[in-house]
Amino acid sequence: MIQLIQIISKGVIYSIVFICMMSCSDDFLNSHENQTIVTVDTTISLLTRSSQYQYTVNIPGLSDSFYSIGNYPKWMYFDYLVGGFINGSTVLTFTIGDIPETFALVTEKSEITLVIDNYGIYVIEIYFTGSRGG
Amino acid sequence: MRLHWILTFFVLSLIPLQTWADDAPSDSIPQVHQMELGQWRLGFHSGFAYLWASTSNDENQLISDGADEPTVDKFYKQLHKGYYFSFDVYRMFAHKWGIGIKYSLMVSYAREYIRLGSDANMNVLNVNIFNREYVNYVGPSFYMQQWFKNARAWCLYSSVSVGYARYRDEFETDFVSPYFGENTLATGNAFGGSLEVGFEYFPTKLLSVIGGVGCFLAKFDNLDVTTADGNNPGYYLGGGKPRNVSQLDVFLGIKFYLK
Repeated sequence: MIQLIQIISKGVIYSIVFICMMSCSDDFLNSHENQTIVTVDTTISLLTRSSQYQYTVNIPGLSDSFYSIGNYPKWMYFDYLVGGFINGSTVLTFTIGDIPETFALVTEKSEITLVIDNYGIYVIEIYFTGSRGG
Repeated sequence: MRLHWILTFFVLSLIPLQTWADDAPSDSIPQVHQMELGQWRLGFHSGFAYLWASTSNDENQLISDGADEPTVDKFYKQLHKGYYFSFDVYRMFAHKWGIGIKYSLMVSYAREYIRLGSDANMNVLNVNIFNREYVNYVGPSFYMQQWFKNARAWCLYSSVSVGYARYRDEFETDFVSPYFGENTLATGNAFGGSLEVGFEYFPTKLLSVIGGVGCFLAKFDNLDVTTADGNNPGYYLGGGKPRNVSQLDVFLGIKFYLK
């Protein structure tokens, strides 16, 4: 019985110590530092008056991976907010809604942030040209 | 108001125990336990915790920033439920009472994929948010034990403790976003207290199995909020406001009696 008590006691104490150790680590604060962050500039023309726009993203060397769109201007409407890269390439398909009057099309940038599995963050900085509602 | 009723409940719960014991005939006290139980008592408990303090202000903030209400509700429901662990050591000075030290830990996790995009914000944000809360507590504790009449292997127990509590809140997102910024750590220290009542069953004189309920009280008025990037204040779910982590606990456990 004494041995059983010792075994159970050790097990419980080790479990509590393990949980306490987990709750003492600040490593999570730096979790973003390990992410690859790539930023590219692009310009999307609204003069074509297309109902649907497509933008191809190429990341050379990227293996087939899933992605999600984490951040984007609220006047962009994507067909899908998740998708996959095949041979380092994927196509974003979207439409453009009403761009606010306060937004200067060619001088203010917007961002699309892709969160890509096993890769990191891919940020597309966008400048729009053309007329609103194009 | 809820706190007031809970405290009242626990204080009242101690009175009948003492009264009952005084009325009990001496031959109803199980002599085998009274005489043979060890003076040192080690207890390990594990169970579930429910944080009852309202988080409606934080929820409303997220909803007003364009978050989906059911998602926010689901996230905070996760955060209100946690796991409870405790360990205590008592030196029994009589068969009815002892004094010792109690340590407890409450862990709560929440994770949700959330979408934000209010009129005031030019962007739509889809992000995974993770929140982990830890409440460590240690303090001196007073323990009381009362035997059931005609039930030699059962007793009721209760404990009261006041001591030091430490709060730790880890907030993490899967990428640095304009809204949430960097990952955030919030910590705080405060006085805390716990009350506990339960049943104790003795299969042998060396150990007992217990089941009980507890109440833990602590409120952290000042929190230190830090991020990996000191220039970025980051985001803290509580918004830097005092955090009440008072909780109700339900647990099972085992206690050892050593000479």
